[in-house]
Amino acid sequence: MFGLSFLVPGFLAAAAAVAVPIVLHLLRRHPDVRVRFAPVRMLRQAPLEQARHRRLREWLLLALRVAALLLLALAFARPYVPDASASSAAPVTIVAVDTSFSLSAPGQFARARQLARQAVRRAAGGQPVGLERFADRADLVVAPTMDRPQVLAAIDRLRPGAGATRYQNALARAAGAIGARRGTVVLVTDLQASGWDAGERGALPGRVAIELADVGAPKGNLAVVDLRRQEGGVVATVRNEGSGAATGQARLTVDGRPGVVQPFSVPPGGAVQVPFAAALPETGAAAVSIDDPTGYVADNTRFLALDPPAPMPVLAVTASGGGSADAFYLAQALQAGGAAEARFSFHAVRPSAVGTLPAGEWARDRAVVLLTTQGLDSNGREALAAFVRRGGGLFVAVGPGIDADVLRSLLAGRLLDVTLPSADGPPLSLVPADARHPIVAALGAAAANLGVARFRRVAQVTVPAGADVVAQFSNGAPALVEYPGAGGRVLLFASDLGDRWNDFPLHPMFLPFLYEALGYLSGPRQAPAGYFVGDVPPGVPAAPGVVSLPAGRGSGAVRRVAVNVDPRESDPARLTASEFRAAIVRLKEAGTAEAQAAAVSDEARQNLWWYALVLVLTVLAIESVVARRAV
Amino acid sequence: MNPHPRDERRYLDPTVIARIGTLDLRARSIVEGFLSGLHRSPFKGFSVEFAEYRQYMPGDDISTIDWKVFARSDRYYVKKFEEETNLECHLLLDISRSMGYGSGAMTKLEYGACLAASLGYLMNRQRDAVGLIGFDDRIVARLPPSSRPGHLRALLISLSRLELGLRTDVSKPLHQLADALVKRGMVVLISDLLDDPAAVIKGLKHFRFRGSDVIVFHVLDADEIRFPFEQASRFEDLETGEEVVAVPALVRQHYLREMDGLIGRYRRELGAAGIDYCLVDTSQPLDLALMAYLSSRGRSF
Repeated sequence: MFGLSFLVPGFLAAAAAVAVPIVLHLLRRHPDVRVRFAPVRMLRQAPLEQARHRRLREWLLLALRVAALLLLALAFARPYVPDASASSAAPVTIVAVDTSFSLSAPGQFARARQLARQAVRRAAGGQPVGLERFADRADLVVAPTMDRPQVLAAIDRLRPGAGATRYQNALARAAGAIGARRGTVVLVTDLQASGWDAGERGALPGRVAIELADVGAPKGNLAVVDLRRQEGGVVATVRNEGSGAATGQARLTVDGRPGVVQPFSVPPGGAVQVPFAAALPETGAAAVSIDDPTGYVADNTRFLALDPPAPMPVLAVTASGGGSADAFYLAQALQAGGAAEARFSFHAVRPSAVGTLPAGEWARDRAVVLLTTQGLDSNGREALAAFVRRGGGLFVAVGPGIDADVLRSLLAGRLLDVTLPSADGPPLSLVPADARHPIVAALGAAAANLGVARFRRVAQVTVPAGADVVAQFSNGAPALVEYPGAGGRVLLFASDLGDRWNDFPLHPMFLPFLYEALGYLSGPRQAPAGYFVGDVPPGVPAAPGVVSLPAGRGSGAVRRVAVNVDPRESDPARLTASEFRAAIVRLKEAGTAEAQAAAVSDEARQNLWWYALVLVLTVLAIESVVARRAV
Repeated sequence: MNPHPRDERRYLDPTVIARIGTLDLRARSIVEGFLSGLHRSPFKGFSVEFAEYRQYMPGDDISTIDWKVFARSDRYYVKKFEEETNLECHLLLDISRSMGYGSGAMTKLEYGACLAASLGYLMNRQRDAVGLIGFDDRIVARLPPSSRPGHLRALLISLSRLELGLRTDVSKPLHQLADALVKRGMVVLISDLLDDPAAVIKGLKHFRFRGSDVIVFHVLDADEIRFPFEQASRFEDLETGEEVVAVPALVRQHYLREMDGLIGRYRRELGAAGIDYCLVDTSQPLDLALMAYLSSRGRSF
């Protein structure tokens, strides 16, 4: 109708409501209101409305009411006039070229360029052509254009990278480039099976055709798929994806200097570990390389950052300013395993010194354990609050050293109330309350052993709305509460971490509980030891190697991490064209996100429903005027 | 003396009267309330027989002070009289179906019955003989006049037993009663007068011809006087069942003109015939009607 489309056509069904006034009109020929009146004879001679006029008025009323309902349904259906330029334009061809490293075998990418050029030349003269490259990510190199030489030149500039194939991203980007138009996606790829993750499916609108341009795969591939440090050196894993046994030499380099060379022999379809005995430095970068003249290039070298993972610095606010007295068990637990293997590095300050800690100290620390507030001045409270606002984790153990008022001012906006116990009560045990919480989940079945400890004194904690009770005491009182709020995480333990109010530190579950709690407090900020090329954080080149990243906020320290290719991409196993197509869901025309987005955009720009609504109000106003005079 | 005259006067309000159960109580409440509200009673001494002296109280009519007693005792005393009369009064209450209309607390019939009961109570209190006739197009109930104290109870019972009748034909019962009257007296007609005005006026003039005083209480509902309807409606005649579909906005002017014409004609022609005419709105307090009666009663003596 007038080229109108509807954003929510279901509301048009409401137009059926026009039957209501029509039926009422047919049924109610006379007013329902009946007045039993005495002097009716005085009305008899009154100039009653002529029947013909009344009938006309009734029909006018009916028409107005029907029109109001129709317009209302029209307004709710959100009408719009589709952008003719988008829907009627010529079909688009998007040539999507696979630039993952699985096309880096000799001659492979030249073949890919050739297929891409053919696809461009094959496209009909009046049709725009675009160019897309894809691996882990998909980029539109040339937007759909009639300038074929531009597209061909862009194809010549394409190079295989170090990323892994992800068909889903490629198809989504191509569909987005085509938009609401009809089109064809020409996928120039080696049809590598690893391009679909398990159960993953791609999606294309039904009006977009797909053509596959198969580049083919090399006969075999040798890849270094793993490299890790071990006692006295490193060990590399070499996998052979070819059909025949492969032999060769693996070369270790440390900080760019050539090192040990080890021969290897790998059966077809198998993998071997190649150990390298070498005195490696504590820090630095190592790499193992092999020669593979027929396979992919990027997976012939694997990198390893030799730097040991840094222990997580935890600052404890203790009465003594050290690891004795109230912090004895905490310090012992965090330093368990010695300096070499400790997961945490413990250091402590007095409450009075918290406000004077240098900024670098706060930037380095992952979490703060607050055991006492005696002597914590306003500067210290503000420093702690700022630490939490910046994303730091705070663990408050409500023990003998905690003052409720200070705690309340420190956690203003999060904490509601805490009442400290005055005397020992009946012994209580610890029970997990939220099995899905990461702390409890990480403890697994061992969480049940928390109940062994006995708590003689516990603080009464009010749990605000939105807070999560992670664990509770056997009397139902909250034991470990995570408080909501912006910034970092805050955990409140309703007893002490010494042995004055409980015997928790004397039980084996103390250490895993503390580790998981402190690990959770800094969890989101735990840096990974390495990245795949497709997962590198912003600012890091998407290329294999060892890179240096900042170790903490503003601390100036750096840590080395290895960036390697995704080993799944080293497997040249392929899909058939039909298997590939079977993994693509064809979306209905109207259901595509692009078409829907275009429709929403058109409708929002035109706002025709407003006009319909104004018409409804106008019609209703006229109807009310006419109805007042109608019988 | 009533210690709470203001409380008594509230019984003149139809919405209050409608909540009182029995007609006896209604009549007593109305009359006592009415009388307590009179600061100075001009209605004493219609027919007098000395009863006693009473010390003057502020509010008493100065004309009733016995100056001879004052000369002897130097104190003000007023004379109290035993009231007696030989007046015979007929209360004619229209019980036709049109009297069943009521938009407020009471229908016209209920209001008329209250008015009749109050008048009966007042007359009985003044030793007047009062009788009752209920009629629609014929006389349905009849209670002969009497001034006996126990007669009031019979009057109230008769009133309470009256039910809505059929069509109105005021003139026919009026002529029947006028022919039957043997002595001059007073006739009080309580009706909505929704009948042929000429026939009604002719019937009332018949009483005047026989020498009786006539008071007409024209009882109308507020809706009938003001026609406040807004919505298009089917108006059904209470007596005939006739239906008229009308838009109030369109017919209001005509209706009001007709009603004003009817009222004006009654007022004009009845006045010319020496008949007291009193338009009674059922939403208004009953004392207006009682005052009209007493004014008429006062003029008779």
